[in-house]
Amino acid sequence: MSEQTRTPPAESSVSDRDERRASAPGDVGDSVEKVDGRGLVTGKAAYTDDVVADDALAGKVLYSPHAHATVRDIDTSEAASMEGVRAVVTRTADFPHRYCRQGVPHPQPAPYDEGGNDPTVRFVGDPVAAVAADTDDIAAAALDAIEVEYEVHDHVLAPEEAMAPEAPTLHDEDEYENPQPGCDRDRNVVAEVESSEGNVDAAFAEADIVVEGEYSTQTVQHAQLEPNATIAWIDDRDRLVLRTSTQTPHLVRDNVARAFGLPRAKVKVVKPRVGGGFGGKQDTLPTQYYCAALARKADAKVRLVTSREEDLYATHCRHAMDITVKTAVTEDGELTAMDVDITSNTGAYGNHALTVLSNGGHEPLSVYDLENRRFTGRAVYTNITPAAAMRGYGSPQGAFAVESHIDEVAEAVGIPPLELRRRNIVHDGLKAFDPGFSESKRPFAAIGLEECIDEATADADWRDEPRTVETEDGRYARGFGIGLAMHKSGVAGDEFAGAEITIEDDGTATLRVGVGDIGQGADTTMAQIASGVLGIPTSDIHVQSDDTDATPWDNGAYGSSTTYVSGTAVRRAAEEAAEKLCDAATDYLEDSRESLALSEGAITGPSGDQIRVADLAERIFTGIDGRKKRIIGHGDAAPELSPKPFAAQVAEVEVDLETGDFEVMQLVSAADVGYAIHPENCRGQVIGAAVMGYGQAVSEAVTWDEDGRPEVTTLREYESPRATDIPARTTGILVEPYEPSGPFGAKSVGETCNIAPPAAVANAVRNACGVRVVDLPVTAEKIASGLRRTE
Amino acid sequence: MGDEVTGQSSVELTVDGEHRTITYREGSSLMQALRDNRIDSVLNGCSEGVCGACNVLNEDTGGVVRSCLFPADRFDGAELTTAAGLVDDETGELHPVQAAFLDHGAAQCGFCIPGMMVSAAKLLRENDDPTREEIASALNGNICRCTGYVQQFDAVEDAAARIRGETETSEQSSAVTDGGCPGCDCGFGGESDE
Ligand code: FES
Ligand code: FES
Repeated sequence: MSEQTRTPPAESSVSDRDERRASAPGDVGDSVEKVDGRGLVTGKAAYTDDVVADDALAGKVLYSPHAHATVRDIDTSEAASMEGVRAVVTRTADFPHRYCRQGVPHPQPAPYDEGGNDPTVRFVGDPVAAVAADTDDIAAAALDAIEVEYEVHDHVLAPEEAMAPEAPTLHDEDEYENPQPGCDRDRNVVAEVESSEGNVDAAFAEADIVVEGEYSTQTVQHAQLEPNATIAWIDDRDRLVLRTSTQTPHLVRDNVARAFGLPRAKVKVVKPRVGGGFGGKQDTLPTQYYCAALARKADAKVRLVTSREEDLYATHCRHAMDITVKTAVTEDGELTAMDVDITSNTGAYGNHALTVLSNGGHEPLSVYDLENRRFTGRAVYTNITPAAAMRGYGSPQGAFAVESHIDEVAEAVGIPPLELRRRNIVHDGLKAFDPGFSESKRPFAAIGLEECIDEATADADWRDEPRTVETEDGRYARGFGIGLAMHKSGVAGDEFAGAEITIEDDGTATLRVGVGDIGQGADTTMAQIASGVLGIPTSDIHVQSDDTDATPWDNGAYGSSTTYVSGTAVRRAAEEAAEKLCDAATDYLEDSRESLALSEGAITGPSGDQIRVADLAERIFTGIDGRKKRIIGHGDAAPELSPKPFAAQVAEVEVDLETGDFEVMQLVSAADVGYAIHPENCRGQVIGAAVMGYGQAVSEAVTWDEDGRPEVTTLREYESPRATDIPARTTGILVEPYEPSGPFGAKSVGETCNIAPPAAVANAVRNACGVRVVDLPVTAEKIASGLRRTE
Repeated sequence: MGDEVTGQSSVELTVDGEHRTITYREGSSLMQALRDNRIDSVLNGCSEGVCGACNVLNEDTGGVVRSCLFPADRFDGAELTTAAGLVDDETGELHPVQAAFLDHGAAQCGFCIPGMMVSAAKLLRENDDPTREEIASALNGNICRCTGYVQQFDAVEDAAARIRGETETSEQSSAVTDGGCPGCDCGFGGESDE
């Protein structure tokens, strides 16, 4: 199968899809109506802050105004005595346990560098205290009444400064737990990595040509539309309950329990409809901890919703990186070695420092067939908002560098960039350059990368040569650029997902999964997978995914794991239920057990003998023919594999050669998704991710002034693309080589197309006008100054 | 300053066809007042007039209001429509633009969607044959962080065609593929299942 799709006879993959669709008993492969769709378009969907909480106190957080300081004293007496104030908590008294906010199961690959009643604040926006009061106004007044005495320290905003000998040490606390490999706190280094394959130095020594380049990426933010919201209370069984906007309800439960020294059974997390995450809701947020602390102290319900301003700088952002790339290449364009070095700015806390850094090098390097490759890097503490997980998880940064650089290599050897890529990309049988903690134990199989390149370039009508737009003054020039990407389908060896499915007595089913829909369409995809096994319509499968008490453990919606990992658990649960249904059906059908098939809500044998699932379920549930039973299937998944989705993204830009103004006319993204369970959802993920990547390419940035104060505090200033900003032609193409280990052939899709748009745009600009922009975002000013330099 | 006692106020409003007395904290924005009264189809994405999640239609002026920007007291006596009110209350049928959003996968997390519905419905009231550019500019005040907009443009185009009677609604189109009314020119693909 993969043989066929690697060389692109488009028709054959189309007919494969048709055959697969026709042979699946349920709705797999169809763009069915989303199970939650009607609620979304009518405004009925209930997000965290839409759930009635009239009895909740208003929670508010006081943040540090200093980038780096030690809290010498917090006087809360006046605030606490104000009428209507129900609880005050402080950084230095109410968080005795060390914790790590990273939304990955314990022990996280990150230091436990928060909590412990730590008096040191490390960024403008680090929480210092919080209050719960009868009204918002009283809470705000109480914050004003809290007096904090700070001893202000020197601060550092960039990794280079932070590693200098004279720099202040950000984390010198005695009880720093779980240090990561290469940790050197005196130099503010959270983690350092080095990994290589082959003999890199020898390859460089023997190289015909060596090309080097330096690139850097900016800090950006998730800017998901729903601000972070939490409502916390203590229930009638003395449990701490959090209703909160999260991608990882089971991990929030764990992290919060640890932070308060509670057994995890004493914490429950409810995840309502979530208004976007993109990694921003993977980790536990300070507001979740503070809301919980207030609820415990006040013994009352507390509501804490971040303002957009808080969301932009007091939560998390994407790591900014400085990257150098060095490549050895033969005269005829064979890449023989590549060396990538990354310095990552992880901000005030080290969550995701090691793992995002690792991805940043390993994934872009995995796109090419390189016998000799080396990646070195370090993640460095600085006094800015902590960086964390964000869609693409390090790959957008690394790919911007590597994919820009590949074009420079092409230039150096005189081979068109597209051709150079085609000659050097990975193919089946090779292996990814995985970091040690997430090694996927299998060579590549069923890679659709080449087909992605073919489809994207054909769709965009790719041309190698730049061309001048036909105007009298020859003022405008156009060019194409491409960027390639690889991502993952969950973290190999680390993911765990469980699912349970109950066949109800009316022939519908209730599916319980611990992973939740955060907008990507997971509830629908999970229901479709169950439908594909059970042969009942998706709309008859009720998905429950919103409560840690009622759903089996799942790591959560991150790492592009949902469809592949949680979907596998769902498939297995449905298979077990289907087995039991068929067993039960043998009492009613003449045909043999092995020959029964489920489809269209019935179990049918080759003789045509049939019983409807609804009738069967009712009979056995009511015990008409014997002992009462209920059919429940269980499944789980803990894959050792993480099949890699790939993408090719093409941009076409037009540059005004006088001013440097540019317009991205086309952004075409082709993604290898394995098999699209819900093609329209999938296409939405491809385009949505690409447009987010386009935002990083051309406009988005979070910045700080020299004192470390955030300069972008409103959504207006944070220029994520609007409807009129996107390239006039923005398209998404699905490539489906079929992944045998995935549910119905699926890999993941959510992140892959977020990775390469910055490189594609930068390469297109270079192709159009000769100016290479090496630091994101690409702006007219940078192009203009490049044009002046080349004149 | 915060301990001045803030009083309560109220306005009489018609929201989604229903007459309501909306009580709110003095000085509240219309968005806050509506949300405090459980009209949750008006969402709060920014409180700063930038994202459009809080959009409502003001039936008196025919305009879209960013409800987080204006004080509630300005709207005494007004008639407002939110995404919830676009549904036909007799039949429960979705507005064509709502149905088209579902068919085109144009709603992901959904947080921008009620506001988006309001902007799109207003456009389609005034123009049932908008160009791609007109659609983009009508939706320009609604930030969507999930979808990348393209499927939303497709959906609005499709909704316009449905309003003009050129294509079927989704129930009707499934009726056609299910065998009903193939090729006749009734314009609707035959009777819908509903
Ligand atoms: S909430 Fe009103 S425009 Fe964002
Ligand atoms: S669908 Fe999530 S913001 Fe638009």
